[in-house]
Amino acid sequence: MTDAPAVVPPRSRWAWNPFRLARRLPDAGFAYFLLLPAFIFLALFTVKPLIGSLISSTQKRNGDGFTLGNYERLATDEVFLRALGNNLLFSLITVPVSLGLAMLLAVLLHQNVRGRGFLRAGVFAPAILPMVAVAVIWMYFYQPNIGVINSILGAIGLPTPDWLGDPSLVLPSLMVMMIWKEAGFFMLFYLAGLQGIDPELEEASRLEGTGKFRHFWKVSFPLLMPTTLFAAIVALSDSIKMVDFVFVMTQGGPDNASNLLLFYIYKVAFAQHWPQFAAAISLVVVAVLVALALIQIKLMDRKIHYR
Amino acid sequence: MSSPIRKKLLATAGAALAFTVALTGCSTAAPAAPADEEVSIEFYYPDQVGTLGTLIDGYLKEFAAEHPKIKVKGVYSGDYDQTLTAVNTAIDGGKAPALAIMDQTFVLDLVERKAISSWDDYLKDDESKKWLDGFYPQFMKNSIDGDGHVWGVPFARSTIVQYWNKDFFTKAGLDPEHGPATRSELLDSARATQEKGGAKYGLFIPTSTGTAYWLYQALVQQAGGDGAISNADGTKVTLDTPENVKALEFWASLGAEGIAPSTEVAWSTSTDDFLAGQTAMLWTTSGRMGTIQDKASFDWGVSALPKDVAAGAPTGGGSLMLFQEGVSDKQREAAVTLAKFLTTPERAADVSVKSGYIATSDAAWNDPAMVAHVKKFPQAIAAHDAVADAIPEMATVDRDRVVYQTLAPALQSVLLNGADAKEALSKAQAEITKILAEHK
Repeated sequence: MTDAPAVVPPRSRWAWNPFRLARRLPDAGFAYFLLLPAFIFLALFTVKPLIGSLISSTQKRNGDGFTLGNYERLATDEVFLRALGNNLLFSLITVPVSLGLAMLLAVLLHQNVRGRGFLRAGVFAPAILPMVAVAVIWMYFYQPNIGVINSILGAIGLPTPDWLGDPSLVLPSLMVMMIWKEAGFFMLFYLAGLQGIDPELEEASRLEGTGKFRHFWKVSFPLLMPTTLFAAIVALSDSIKMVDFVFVMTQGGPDNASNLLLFYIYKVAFAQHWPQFAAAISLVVVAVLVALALIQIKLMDRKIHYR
Repeated sequence: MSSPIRKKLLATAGAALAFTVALTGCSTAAPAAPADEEVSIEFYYPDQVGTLGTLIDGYLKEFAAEHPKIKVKGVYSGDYDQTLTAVNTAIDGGKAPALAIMDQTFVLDLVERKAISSWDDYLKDDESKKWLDGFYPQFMKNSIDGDGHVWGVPFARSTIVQYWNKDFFTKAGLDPEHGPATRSELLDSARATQEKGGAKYGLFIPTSTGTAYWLYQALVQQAGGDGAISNADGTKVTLDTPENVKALEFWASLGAEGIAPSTEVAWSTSTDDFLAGQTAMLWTTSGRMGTIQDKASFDWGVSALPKDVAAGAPTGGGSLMLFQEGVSDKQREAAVTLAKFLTTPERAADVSVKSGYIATSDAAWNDPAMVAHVKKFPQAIAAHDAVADAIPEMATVDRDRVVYQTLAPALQSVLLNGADAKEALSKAQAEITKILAEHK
């Protein structure tokens, strides 16, 4: 195999050579031939595990027999319902707020302001940090006695709550951190989107005497819709799949107030060694995610101006 | 598509394929077959305190010199929970480590899944019996089941002790050399340090998810209840007695009266809070003694927990366990040899001196290195005293669901959200009974 294959091998001896055969394929067939390695990996690492989960989710805890008990259990499992509720709240708040903030920052930093490059880099910085690093940093921000936030609040005489130790504050505290991390990331997409908009449109608005806000609302915002759709789907899946900070900061506590779906799945699968039930939860989460993405696409597709 | 482009694409693909084949060829050729009489085993060890990993690395080097025929592959596996995950994955993959240090409370789940072997077969000769009998019985309770089978050998052990800040005690006019010995002294000292000593809080008892049950066990024992909470087989728990309720109500009263914060007292940062002078007293593991010794900028004391109706605190820590999946008899014998090597009195004393874990036998406490350590550092004896009244750590089958998923939130709902103690415990009792019933 080490001598370069398929350059000009003798016809009769190498007739079976797949590379030779490939050269004679029609274009569509050749395209599939090139996609073959990708398909193999997709089948091996996505399709096969998915089917495996499906089968596993219908088995009992000791691994044999067919049962739908794992799915029935979901309806009554308090921790699952709590994690589901937490996660819905987490997604419903962090996704729109991150995107709104990202759009606002993008519009501001699209203009010619002094130190624009520096500001853009500053806003984008959180997005480059690994989630675990972000979590460790914010854990010290939130530390009740020596943390940055409480030091400032204490200095100006305001109450200093225990951000991660109070069941009613822990989820909002985590949302703030998530928004901080995500907004900079999506700002980058909006900046690219804004740069793709024809500057003549802004010129026209200026000549017509349209206000800046009106121009944004009637021209930029609709033209950014494809970006928004893409960003919304990515943000939604991020809000469900990025749970590293739960491991670092709260372990889902106190009193399950910060338990999120993926963290719970990890707990069930590994700490409780119950992969069958974990598979059932995973499949439900995947189904919900797909459904939400479809709804997003359907709803927003109507309002999108593709060029 | 034009022919030249196809040619180029195909040539690249061919080269990539050839490269992959060449690489695979190299990697399969690499491992040399071990000589006949040699045996190689894997050993997983966690490190909860940051000092154990280096110690074990050193022991493994000594072991290699003493037993050249046994090749030990030591694998550092994170904390106890990560070690359980790693071992579970290895079992599912058909190749468990021959020996691992596991949290002592994992025994019941591992036995139920037939993942570990009992030590019985290796404890038949007198020397081995003597070795096992040497360990303090308090440290063996979580490792022996109702039928007398031995599943674990104590390695790094701890219990809960109280630490106090002598500066606050002196300022409050209390005796700085003696910590509170009874419940009423405890409360008086806490209030005095806050009112006269200038401490922000009087007493921290950590309420985090991972350890709340452990501290709660001590409070139940002191209230006169059964601090073990679970039975020896781990099939039954008792949470709804008046003593259980009393213990939880006392704990919640600390937050309500301002002796402790009414929000979560985090296990991981409570030692830092004590070191920063946030609280006059702290209940935590004896394993933190080394950290406090290194970092405290003030004089401090340590002793066994004060008694109320009764005295006592649960043990904690790791045991050496033998695994089954994919382990041959010969490998298991090698693992037993390694376990005996790691638990000699000299090494138990060394672990204790260097990490703060409690030496596991009288022989270890009488080891010259340990005696010298206690002379230089008299506080270390507090852990030894605490062992006398030690009770087993709460352990059940399906432990994660019972302890972390059900009991911990129930305790926290009372401590942090002001729920009624009796109701919360009855509800937890019912839920846990249901979970345990699935295992009969």
